[in-house]
Amino acid sequence: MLFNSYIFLIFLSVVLPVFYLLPSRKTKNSFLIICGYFFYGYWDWRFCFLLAFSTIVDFLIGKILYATKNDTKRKIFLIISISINLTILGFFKYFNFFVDSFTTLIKIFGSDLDFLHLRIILPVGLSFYTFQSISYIIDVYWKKIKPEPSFINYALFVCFFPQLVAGPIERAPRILPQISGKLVPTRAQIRIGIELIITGLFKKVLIGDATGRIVDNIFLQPQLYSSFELLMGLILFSIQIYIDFSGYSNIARGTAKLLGVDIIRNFQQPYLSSNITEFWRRWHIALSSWLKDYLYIALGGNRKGPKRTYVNLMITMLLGGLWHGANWTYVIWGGLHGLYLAFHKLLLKGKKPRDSYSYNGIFSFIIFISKAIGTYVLVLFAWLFFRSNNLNMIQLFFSKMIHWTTGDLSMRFICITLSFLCITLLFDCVEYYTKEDSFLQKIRYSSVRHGILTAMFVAVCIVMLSYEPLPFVYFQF
Amino acid sequence: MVVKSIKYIVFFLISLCCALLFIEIYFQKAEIYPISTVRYDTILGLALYPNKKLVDFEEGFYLGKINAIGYLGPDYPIKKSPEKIRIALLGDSYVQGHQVFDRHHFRTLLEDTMNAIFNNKVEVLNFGRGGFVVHDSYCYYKNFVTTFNPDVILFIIGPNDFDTNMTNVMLPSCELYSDSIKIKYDFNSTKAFKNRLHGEFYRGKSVMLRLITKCKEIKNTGLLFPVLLGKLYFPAASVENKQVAPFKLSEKHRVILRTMGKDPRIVFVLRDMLPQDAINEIKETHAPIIECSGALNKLIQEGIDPYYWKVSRKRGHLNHLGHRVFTEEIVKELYVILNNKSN
Repeated sequence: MLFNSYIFLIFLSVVLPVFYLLPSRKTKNSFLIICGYFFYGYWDWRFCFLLAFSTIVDFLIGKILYATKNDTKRKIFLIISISINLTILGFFKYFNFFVDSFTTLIKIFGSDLDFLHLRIILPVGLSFYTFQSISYIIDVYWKKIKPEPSFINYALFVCFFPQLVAGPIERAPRILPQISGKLVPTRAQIRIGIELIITGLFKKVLIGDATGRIVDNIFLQPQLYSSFELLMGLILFSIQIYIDFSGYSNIARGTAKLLGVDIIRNFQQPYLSSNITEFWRRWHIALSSWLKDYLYIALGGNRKGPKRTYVNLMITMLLGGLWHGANWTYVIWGGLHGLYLAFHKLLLKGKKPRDSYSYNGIFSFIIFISKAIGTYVLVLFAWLFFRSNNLNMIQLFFSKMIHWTTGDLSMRFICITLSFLCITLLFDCVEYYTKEDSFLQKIRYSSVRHGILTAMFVAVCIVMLSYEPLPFVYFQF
Repeated sequence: MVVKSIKYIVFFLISLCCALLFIEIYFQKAEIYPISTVRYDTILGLALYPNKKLVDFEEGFYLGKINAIGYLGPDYPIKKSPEKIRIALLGDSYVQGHQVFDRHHFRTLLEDTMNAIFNNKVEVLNFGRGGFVVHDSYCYYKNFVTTFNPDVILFIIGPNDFDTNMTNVMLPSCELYSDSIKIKYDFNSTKAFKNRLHGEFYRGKSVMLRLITKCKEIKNTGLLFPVLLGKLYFPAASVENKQVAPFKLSEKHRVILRTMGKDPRIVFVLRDMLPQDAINEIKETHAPIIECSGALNKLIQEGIDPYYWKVSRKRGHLNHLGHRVFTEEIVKELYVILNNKSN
């Protein structure tokens, strides 16, 4: 079920009271597992078996892996677990992609592999919980953590419904101790949790979905729109994907907090980054840190000389692109970001880039804004590849940029785009300044906080009833 | 304690109102949903408000504007230039076409195509109105469309245009007097009209209030529980097995078609399969008929639905392809009709 739907609010209003009334940790955890499978089964009950299979396999292998002393045998079990997880992911997500790509190649020689193309439904959340399971197994292999002795706790770690279908991809050392401990939310967690859910819903329903309706229509038939409208569509997509995912992550964090669990913050105002390296420290933090820890560092990181560093960076970003979807456009998107990062690394010459900006006069502010705009333009260019369905669409976009046309609705598009940009920037600036995404907690008077949250919630409820909700963009990954 | 509570309530209400106002401004600037685009006219009833912006995401994506005179499309003045050929489009929401930009609407496609043939002399004016049925279109034709002195009036009809139960208290009504139609303007003095007029003054200016009105409509049409419960909603069998009464062309609509058919400017455009009763009545008027349902149904048989919208996953009004095919069908016959008229 979508977070931005009434059925989810009804689900939550049933789950929370029952959860709070349950006496022991074990019963709470068991109840949350049932909720997780119900939540997942609401999409498609058949994939609950896949989730259960993945959970059982990794739980057992984790235990065997830790108990085995022989390094070679440990490595074999690690490979088995990763292979099983990647095979499941590869089959459901990439089988048709590789068949189609290979078919295109061998058609040159007059052969055909279209018969291999299968009607495969991608289980929602597969990419997320598979990576989460892999990180657990690797952490056990590296002896960072001991394997979770309780199957119930491990099963909950995998199927914890706030982050089951679209992350954030959590790490076992962060979550398992919380799940094994007292699952009683504090008053602060409940306050912050409610605020995160409401602000997340506001972002998703009133900004993400609103931009999404325009973007989806433009990118479905880009040939119908003028060059200017296409460019506005791309800018609106950059807003949609950020707000949509950060809104979702807020709701996930908020829901987890109401259950007494703290999960990772996934976004930290990435469009206010002054360079591309900072952007990747602020964008989809869960995935980028996963790729850094389990892929980039595993490949050698920056420990094997500058040339190998750039190669490792490119491989990581290409695979990161491919993770998003079975399409060459995602690979190109990942590759572009790899080039950006490699070039930035080259410019830095070993220096560490600044993580955030602090005001130091108007001149430094102007420089910061210029750098942020420059970084945004680079990211925006890459989003074109991310959003386009195929290479023909990219070609059409470039052709329209070269043969520039404006159309009679340019002013309307400017006003609409500026409105969405302003509200996104408002959220980002406040969060950047307060260093919190539950920034309303900084307001001294609880009555003012409650008034603002009530207004946001009322607006969300009205729009949710009036318009059909759009699925989260990241659900398709 | 009491002072504290009062202070809390006051601050709560002030911050609530300020936040709602901010959200309202955001809704209007970002065009999340349109504000009211109707005005109240003592003759026309619900008329279009000149220069109001429109946005629609129900099926496709529409961004447009009502022109300075109060209809859709470019601002062609009421007084027609003698050298111009003026074509008026009359009909319901399929003619209004708030699913595609004006540049993709069959109004523009028709105008461009006809201008290529007739040397830029053609003006096409869109008088389509959502929710209109035959009797509403008749009143609009009599009171508004004819004032523009069109050379041709394409009256575009579909099967849903003959619903006699669709009456709008905000519009003039048609009464049958022996074999003629009389338009009545009683709506002006009804309590319902005055209440709506008063309410719309406030509701019409606020996006949030219009959204609340939309929520009420959703509740009244029985769609509330499917929205709330999603997949867990199981409709009652009696709702699914609702029987549809067989079609019977009303006497009022029969007389309206006959009356309109007497106007030499009228061309009936059949956008979909009409009941035989209605087709026979239209044929008896001896007015020119343009049959478009064949081409549109052929597309459906080929697996390309001209009414399906991929983004909203809804089947409703003509999509971009539908508008193009519709234009092609009209052009074929209209060219002959205009040529005959000019001869």
